[in-house]
Amino acid sequence: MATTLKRAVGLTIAAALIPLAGQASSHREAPNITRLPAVDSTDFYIFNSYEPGRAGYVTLLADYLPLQDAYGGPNYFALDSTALYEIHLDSDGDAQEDLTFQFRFTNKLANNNNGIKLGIGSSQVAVPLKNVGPISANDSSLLNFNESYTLTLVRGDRRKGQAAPVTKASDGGTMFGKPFDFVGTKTFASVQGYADYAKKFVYDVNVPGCDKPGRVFVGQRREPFAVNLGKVFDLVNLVPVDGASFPGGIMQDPKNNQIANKNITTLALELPASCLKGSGNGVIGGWTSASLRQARILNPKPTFSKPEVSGGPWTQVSRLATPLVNEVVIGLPDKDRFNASQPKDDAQFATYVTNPTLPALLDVLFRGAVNQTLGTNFTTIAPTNIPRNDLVTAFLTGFAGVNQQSKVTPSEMMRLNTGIAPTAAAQQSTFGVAGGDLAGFPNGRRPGDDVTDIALRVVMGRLCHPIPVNGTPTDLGLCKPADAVVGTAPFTDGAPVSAQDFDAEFPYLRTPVPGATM
Amino acid sequence: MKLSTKMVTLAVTAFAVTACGGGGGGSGSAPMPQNVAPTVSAFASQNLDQDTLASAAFTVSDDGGADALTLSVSSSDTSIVSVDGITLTGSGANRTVSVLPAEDATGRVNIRINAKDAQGNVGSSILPLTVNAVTQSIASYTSATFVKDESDTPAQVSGFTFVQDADDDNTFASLVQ
Repeated sequence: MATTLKRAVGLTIAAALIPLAGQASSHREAPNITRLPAVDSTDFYIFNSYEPGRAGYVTLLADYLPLQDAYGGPNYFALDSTALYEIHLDSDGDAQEDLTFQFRFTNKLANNNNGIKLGIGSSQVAVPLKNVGPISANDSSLLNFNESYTLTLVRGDRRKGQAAPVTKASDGGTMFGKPFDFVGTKTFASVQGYADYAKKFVYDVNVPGCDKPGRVFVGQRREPFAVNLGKVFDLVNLVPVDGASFPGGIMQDPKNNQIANKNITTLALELPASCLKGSGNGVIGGWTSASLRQARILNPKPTFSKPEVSGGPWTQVSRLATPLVNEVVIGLPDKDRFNASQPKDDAQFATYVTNPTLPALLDVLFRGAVNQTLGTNFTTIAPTNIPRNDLVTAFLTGFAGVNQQSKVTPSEMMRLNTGIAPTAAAQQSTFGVAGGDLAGFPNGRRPGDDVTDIALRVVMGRLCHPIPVNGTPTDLGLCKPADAVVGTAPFTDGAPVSAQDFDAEFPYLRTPVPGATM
Repeated sequence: MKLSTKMVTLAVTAFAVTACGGGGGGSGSAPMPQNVAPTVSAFASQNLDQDTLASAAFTVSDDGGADALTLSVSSSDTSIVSVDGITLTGSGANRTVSVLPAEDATGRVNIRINAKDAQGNVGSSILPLTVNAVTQSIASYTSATFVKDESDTPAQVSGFTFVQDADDDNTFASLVQ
């Protein structure tokens, strides 16, 4: 097959109808959420902390507000103060949350919510900007706009469970600050100046019911996802096989990452694993969601603090665990419904996993060209093991002995085995478990895991062929090599990502791109 | 009239009946049995609310056996009920048709059930449906939603035809201020 594929990549991809699995992880992935960017979850990470000295901790990152252009002044990218942002964890495998961390934001202007004013003539006049001078780690007095938030832990049902505030370890306070976005190096003196400023917003926290403190940070970060976004959406305007192995394929090049200069806003938690494991086998399922109050009335005479009123029950509008599921697995008519759903109800979407359309569409795109070039007569290049139990395992149940919970409820969660030791940043495989690194995706997800390439290969049948487990090629028994004739092809979008692209300490995601530089 | 059909094969084995034409045959030969078209039992008219499911039991029969029949369905107005919204279940003589109208669709529509035997004879029956709108005042609905607790289950929006109460900016002024 390797020879076959080696010859295949030289072909010209004459026609392409749909994007591959390479679009941004969950950026604007469903029709309705494109109208609500501040509550659009973009990526979710859960991994055993690999920062030196933090063994026994789990890091959770939930990214929101996609495709921020750093220069987007003067208002930049505040989160939605009417929304409820949540990170859910299931420790017993019933696909229902046992722990939920709830973030709620408050936006205030300086000067008691009246804004900074300047004396112009005989009048004191409010300024139009969110900052009117330099900001540093030690002086935010010229900041005109402040975001803060509360963090609440709910045990049990996210709406009916027992809620208690997460507090600052330093003074027991319940209000946490969020750094202003990185408007530029004149405001913050330098990139390092912003890094120092933002670091002030990493808090040690006491979590109710936990005997060790955790950490929290919410703020703007450099977009961690890497994807060849434009070409992928331009009818797959590339040859999606790794050019290093196969001449003619796309070469791995950071320039292929077209969202490299974007920012996102991350909600970051680091918590003791002992607090999260509950009564299960140590594998925890996680996901993030955002909700809005169901009723909303626009104010015809809006003010800063009351542009609208909202009320009624929380109504979920965004949901994310495993990357790419709502992008390339769930059908367009059901994407919004998926965003409003919960893992316990995922049976309603099972057909999208067992009978996936993406491989069939790829078959339409590439089979003719493959057969023409190779002289083969493949009747399909899509995996033929329908129902796709390999995808059920990858997306809905986890792998036994790696990231499967003791009680198995097929559902779309990111599953992390807290008992598998983390791999130091320098030793991580960007291909995670498939690369022989059991501490990586799909055993949770780290920032440096190249989930685009992994997911694309899995969808095209990689799990039907032996994969390395502790260095030994292992047949997972989910399907047969004959089921996936291109299952070993090194599919890629050519946008590399690795642990070296991130910090090796909490919150791991890097300082955002500045809006301007001197 | 918009018409489309969906073939629903309910028989694994075709049952062939050889029929002799001509109405009786010549002298000295016994008359061959005449093949008879299948029958589908009659339906009563049904009314249902928008965005709800209707179902009706019916029977089919044929001299070749009910299991050998191939059933198909059609809709007189696919904007109200598409063929994808029609599901047949059951086996043998006893069948059920379930109909889910298109989202927000209302109006009158006829669902035709066809039964075809191996000889191509077809019997059919029509299920007349009237899908009624369930009207709801936006103002009262919104007010009721506002007073719900944030931990309550969100109110359903599907299943209603919302009625604009007043077309001016002051409708909800008391709620805003």
